[in-house]
Amino acid sequence: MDATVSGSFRDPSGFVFTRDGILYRQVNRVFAEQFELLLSSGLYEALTREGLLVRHEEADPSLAATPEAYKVLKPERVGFISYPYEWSFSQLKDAALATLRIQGIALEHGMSLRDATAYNVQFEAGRPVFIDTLSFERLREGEPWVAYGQFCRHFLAPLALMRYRDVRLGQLARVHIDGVPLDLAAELLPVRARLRLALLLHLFLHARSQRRHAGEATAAGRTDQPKRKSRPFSLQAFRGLIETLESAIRKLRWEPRKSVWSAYYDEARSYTEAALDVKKSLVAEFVEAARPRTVWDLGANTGPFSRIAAAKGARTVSFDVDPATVEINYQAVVSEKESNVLPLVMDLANPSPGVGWANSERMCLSERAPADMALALALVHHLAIANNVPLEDVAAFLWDVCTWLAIEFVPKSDPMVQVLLASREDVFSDYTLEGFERAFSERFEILRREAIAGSERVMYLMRGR
Amino acid sequence: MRPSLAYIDANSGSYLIQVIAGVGLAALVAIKVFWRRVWGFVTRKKPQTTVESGPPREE
Repeated sequence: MDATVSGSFRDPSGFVFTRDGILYRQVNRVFAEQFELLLSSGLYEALTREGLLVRHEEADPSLAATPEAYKVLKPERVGFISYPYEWSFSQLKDAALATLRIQGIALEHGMSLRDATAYNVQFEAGRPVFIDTLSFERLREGEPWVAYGQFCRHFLAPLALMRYRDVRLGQLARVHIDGVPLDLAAELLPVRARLRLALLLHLFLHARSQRRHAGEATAAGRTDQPKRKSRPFSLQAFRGLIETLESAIRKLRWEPRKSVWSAYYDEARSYTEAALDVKKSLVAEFVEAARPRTVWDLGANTGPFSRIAAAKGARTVSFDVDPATVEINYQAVVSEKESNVLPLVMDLANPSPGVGWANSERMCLSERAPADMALALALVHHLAIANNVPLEDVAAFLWDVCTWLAIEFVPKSDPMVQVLLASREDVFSDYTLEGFERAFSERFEILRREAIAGSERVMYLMRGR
Repeated sequence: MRPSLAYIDANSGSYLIQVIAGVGLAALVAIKVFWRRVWGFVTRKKPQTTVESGPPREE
């Protein structure tokens, strides 16, 4: 049974589909020449050698999903599909730089990217990798970059907003699936952002030009309308464009301040050092017992427990609501060259929904489940008390996304729960150890129950029923 | 508000700003290349001096 992968349906040159659980990319005949050029120009080899483009092998043509097929490819599969609104500042920045590097190499091979959406980039083994093999076309001599506007919307605008306004504006990508409109970015950015020459050109003047020339036909318009006469865009100018974009992106820097969450583990009131050691060794034991290939660390903070799972060979996605902790986590992945940890921004009380056409172009979080194992450490009180989610519903959600579960119960007497209760009425009569076990027993088999010495918290190893 | 249609971005404003900035962008690369060459010329390692080519350098 074939299933077209949502998100690849817009492109007439081919699409991605799964058959018997295997991922394939069909190249349509209409795109045959461009695809062959990718291979014959040496661009495919150059990009895959640098790990910038996902590798593929040619599959049996009889696997084609439709009669328009020219070839069927079997691409290497990415471990976990993530989206720009789930990335930290540096992840989006690295994805932008990878896109520009790819475009620079493509130019050297007489080709060019015909789109520059952030959704064409995924993170694999700690590095950004381009996944759309069909994004390359023969360089159109004398014409500017057809994907320039898209690059600015998907990368430059959100990065500038995150840098100059607020890092949480990365979430704008969730609303604007084809990138942040440049007029909106220009409106939101402070005046001082205009002092950066590259931002002045690529965002502010670009937005003004878009507004002024909206609807006009151009040589790049690929319509039958009369083409506007203009100077040819030299290859030198093209290189200049990519260089100024790269320099603009590189100069956008954001360092997280010590936010509430990134300071969490520094605070003595949360854990004594001995209790933290006990918790770490319990997590290690639980992971060893479950032997997961994939782990979701839910509420991972900067990822100390994710790394315990990753060290045992599990491909670990490290979710946290705070962009600052995710940034710190990602910086560690880069500096330590960690290949098994993928930090992502995720509010578990409002996880990524299905967005885009028919709500299915970009998957919701649970569609990317299940993981072999989930770690829900110091999480349940945030969901149950801070967000008023009944324990049964917390259990149902976790049951939906994992097979094995390492979960920590944090009682009301715990100082961190006291902080949460200080500003709200205690309407959580079921929030007891007994209530917790009752709620979870319906969905999970409780295999181990261990008190964390030095605290009042309890760790559980469970398996879904 | 204009609808967003583009899989392939053919936005004329994006096209024209590149064309307008093209000369400047090309000049930027040319200047960069020029300075790289000048810098390379200035900082290049001097060839080892020999008896024939002049007196030995003072260390």
